[in-house]
Amino acid sequence: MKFVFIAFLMIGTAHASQIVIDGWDQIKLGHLMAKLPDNVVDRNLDSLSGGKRVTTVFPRKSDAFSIECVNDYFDDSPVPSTTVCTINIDINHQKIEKNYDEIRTTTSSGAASMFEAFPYGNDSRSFRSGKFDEGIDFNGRKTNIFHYMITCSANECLYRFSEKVLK
Amino acid sequence: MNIVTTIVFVLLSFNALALPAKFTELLPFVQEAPDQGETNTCLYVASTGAMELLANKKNNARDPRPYGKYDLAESFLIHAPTLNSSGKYYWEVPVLKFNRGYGIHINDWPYESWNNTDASTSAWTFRQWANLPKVELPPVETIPLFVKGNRWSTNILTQANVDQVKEALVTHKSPVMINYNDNGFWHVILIVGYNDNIPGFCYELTEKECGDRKGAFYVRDSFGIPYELRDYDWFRVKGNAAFIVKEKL
Repeated sequence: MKFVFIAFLMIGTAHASQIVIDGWDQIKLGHLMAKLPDNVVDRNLDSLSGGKRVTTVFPRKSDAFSIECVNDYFDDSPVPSTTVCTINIDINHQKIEKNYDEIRTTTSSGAASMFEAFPYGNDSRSFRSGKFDEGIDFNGRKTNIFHYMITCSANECLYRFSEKVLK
Repeated sequence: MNIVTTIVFVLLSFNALALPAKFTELLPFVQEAPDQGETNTCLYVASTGAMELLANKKNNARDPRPYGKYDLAESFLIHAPTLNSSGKYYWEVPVLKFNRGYGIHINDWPYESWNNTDASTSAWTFRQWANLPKVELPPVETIPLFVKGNRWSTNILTQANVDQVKEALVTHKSPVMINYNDNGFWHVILIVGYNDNIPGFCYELTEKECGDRKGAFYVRDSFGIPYELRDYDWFRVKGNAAFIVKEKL
């Protein structure tokens, strides 16, 4: 039984990829997750000494990727004091496309809310990590590669991730 | 310690103790900044943000949305000629351009820092702004709190400078524009509040530099989020200049 469980765990691990993002880019994501309404995320509250811990997972339904952020709030602060975010990708998921330095997937799940959460732009809006570096994009072009870059219209978002070590 | 020094120390200590443990009343008036990306426009984004905050506060425009009434074009400050800057520091000059009595709305002069994956330089492209619709604004003034070293200097401030910023927020109920060293680049942002009892992000500090993680400023940066908490020690270690930007009464 134990062997079966470990084997299952190993298979699961082999299919998953975690995008490494630095502290500041985790904070950017944490603020984004806090803006999303309850109907498009799984949100759980825990009490902390002098505050609360809010864990937010997007998207709600299982998809090719998930973004999880843990925001700790203290006193009555409207913004978190600390944030830890992880991006996990099911690298073998049928909706995942991977080429050169980029991993891509498109989803309509929560797209309208994500679009609204990005403050500026017209029909297409985007949100990206602060860390980026020159790399090769999905189409083989040399360009700036971001750890995460989300581009949304009101009904669909393109998620672009990179495992490349960035400046 | 002679008697005069003792009295001054006691008065300063009393003054520091007299400050409230937190000051958050400006937060509802903070206008979210665009992500400045690689545009090198921090001074203009911060200066515009100070004016937006003051205009929102004066008109009781709470929780302002992007593209709201006082969401102003950063590019206006890049291109409008300087008004009277005699005796002013470099950092004070842009925001005083609003003393024409107006700015330009962001709808009429959008700010783009990225074109897909490429850095955009469109914020630096001149427009015939004189012909654009104007947003009426109150007059502003700047008051230097301190300028130490140069724009890249670190480890030059003390706890007294942290307290000066806190006191300025409480006294003037206005944003404080500060300069600090951001990963080797000089960078200008706004401090818009504080809380003595909660931790903030250490932001490029080592755990040792960040101290006991108690007390943080609310800062409005220009990296794509409205405002966030940064530890007092972040400012003490990385900061080097501060200015009040307030309505001129």
